[in-house]
Formats: sequence, structure tokens, C-alpha cells
Amino acid sequence: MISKAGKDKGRYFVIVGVDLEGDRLVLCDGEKRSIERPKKKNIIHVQFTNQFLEDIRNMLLRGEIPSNSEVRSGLRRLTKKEGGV
Amino acid sequence: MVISSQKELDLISSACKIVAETLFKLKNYIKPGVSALYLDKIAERYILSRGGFPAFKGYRGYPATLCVSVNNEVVHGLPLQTKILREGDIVSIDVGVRYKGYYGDGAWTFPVGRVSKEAEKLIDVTKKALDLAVSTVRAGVTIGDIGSVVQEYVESQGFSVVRDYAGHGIGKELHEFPQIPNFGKRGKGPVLEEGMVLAIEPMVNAGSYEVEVLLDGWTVVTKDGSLSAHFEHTILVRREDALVLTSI
Repeated sequence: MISKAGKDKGRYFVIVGVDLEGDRLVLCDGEKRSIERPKKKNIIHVQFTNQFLEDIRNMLLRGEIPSNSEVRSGLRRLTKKEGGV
Repeated sequence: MVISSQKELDLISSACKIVAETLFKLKNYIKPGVSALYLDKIAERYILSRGGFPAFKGYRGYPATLCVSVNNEVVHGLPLQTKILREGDIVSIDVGVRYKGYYGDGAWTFPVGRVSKEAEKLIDVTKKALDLAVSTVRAGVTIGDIGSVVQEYVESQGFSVVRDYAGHGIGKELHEFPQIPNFGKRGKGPVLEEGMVLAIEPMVNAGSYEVEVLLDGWTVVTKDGSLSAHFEHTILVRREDALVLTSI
């Protein structure tokens, strides 16, 4: 997804979790927001896309934590693919 | 989005109706010798005449009304003047419409003249995959239920489902929660609620599921050069079934 508010506006992130208490998404880009220090963001401040990182999703479903380089390479693949309609 | 009033349903239905009418209209123009840009102009003129606005135009910089993807192009094909349809091609047309703040999204793959047996089968299987997905939908099923139905059917026919792009919620924005991948496991993922509006869109490749993007930054093609087809409906989740909003 893409941030649509705040300092990180326009930046791509991967959703790595949900903060059920705060109704927020837990986001990581493998760089400024690493997997060890993810960003929590209100769901209304993000723009969903139709792009999908199957490998990251499968790791999360297996209970594994993706590395920052895996997140970065996934996002590089997606951001090369511009926005997606 | 989750529909909260009859007025909202009427508005999103109107957006979706324009999508369906646009695709229906374009069907008559798809023949050898026609350029993708010509189709784009017809679609744009029609959408504007119906009081809608082309939803893709300007979306993260996308320059056109339609995505016109030919043969090995999976999605997001640019409707260029130099992209001329030829006998035997298959062409996927994806169109989005915004109407009074609400969005509809739909796609259809058309044969251009007579096509090969493989292309015909690919189109049939992809269309049936969408129909199966839609018939699976009702309140209480999961996103994984939809994905598994699509994946199992498509793979049983010897084709593959694209992994990098997914269906999506739709309504007040073009892409909303939840994402709807065309693969998955039964019972997994978010549960559908009555009133949700979703765009379900199987993208099926005749060869491997791997895709890549051309240097134009948009056009997604199959990595192995195989053919690809794409069908999409915007639907409303009801208690017992789904209502297809992008049908004539």
C-alpha cells in the first residue's frame, strides 16, 4: 500500500500486521521503517493497491518474520510497476 | 467499502453500469486493424457522455482511460496508437469509472477475429474462473475461499493464476481493503460481510504465473511470453449470494 498522509506520504509499504487495539496497520518498508521498528498507521491514511507480495504474505502466514532485504526487494519489484490500475 | 444506504448503492451501481456499457460498446469495435488508442477515445467519450469520469486517467500518473493488453500482456497495457489489433490476437480491456464520487471497475478479454484453440480455451477458462468466484461469494465466506476456487479450477485446466496482482475492495476509492488474490486456502483470510463491494479479477496465464513490467513502467507481461486473459466484475456481497454490478 501507499501512505497518503504524513511525512511518508507517497511511500510504498508492506502491511506486516494489524494493531487491533488502535485500528491501525503495522507497516514496514525495510528501510526507514524496518521490520524491527515498523510504523503504525491509521487505516484511513493509507491507499490500498491491487499489487500483492505473495512471498512476504506466505512467510507471515507461516509465522516467520521477513527480513528487511526481503521486504525491500519485494517493494522494488512493485514500485517498478508504478501504481497499478 | 460496505454499502450503508440505498443512495450509496444506487451511485455505485450507476458507476458500474457505465463500466458494463462501455465494455459492451467496445465489443463492436474490436476487429483487425483497429488501434488501442481508438478504443480508448471511444471509451472516454462514452464515459463522459454518461456523466462519469475515467477512473484510471491520472491515477498515479496513468495517462489513459483504458488498459488495453494484447496477447502476452497481462494488465495495464497502454492504449497506444501503434498498438494495432491483428486477426488472431486476444485483447483484454480494463475500464474504471468514477461517478459522483463512487467507483466501478470491470474487464473483459475479447478474441480478435478467429483465434487459436489455446487462446479460446484460455478466454473460456478465465471467464469461468470469474463466474465460479462470483458464485462462491456470500456473507460469511473468506477471501481464501474465493482465491482457492479460482486457483483450483484454473490449474486443473493447465493454466496458472497471476500472483503479483489481486482483486480489491472498491467504492469510494478505486482500490480499497480487502485485497482478493486469485489463489489461497479455503477458510483463510478476512471474512466477507453483507454490503461489501468488491472487484474480483482473475488474471490467467497460459504458461507460468510469473510476470514482469516493460520499460514503459506500466505494461505487465508474462515472463515466458505466453498468452494471458483477464476478466473482472464489481460485485455486491449479499447474505445468500453476490449481485454483479458490472453487468448490462
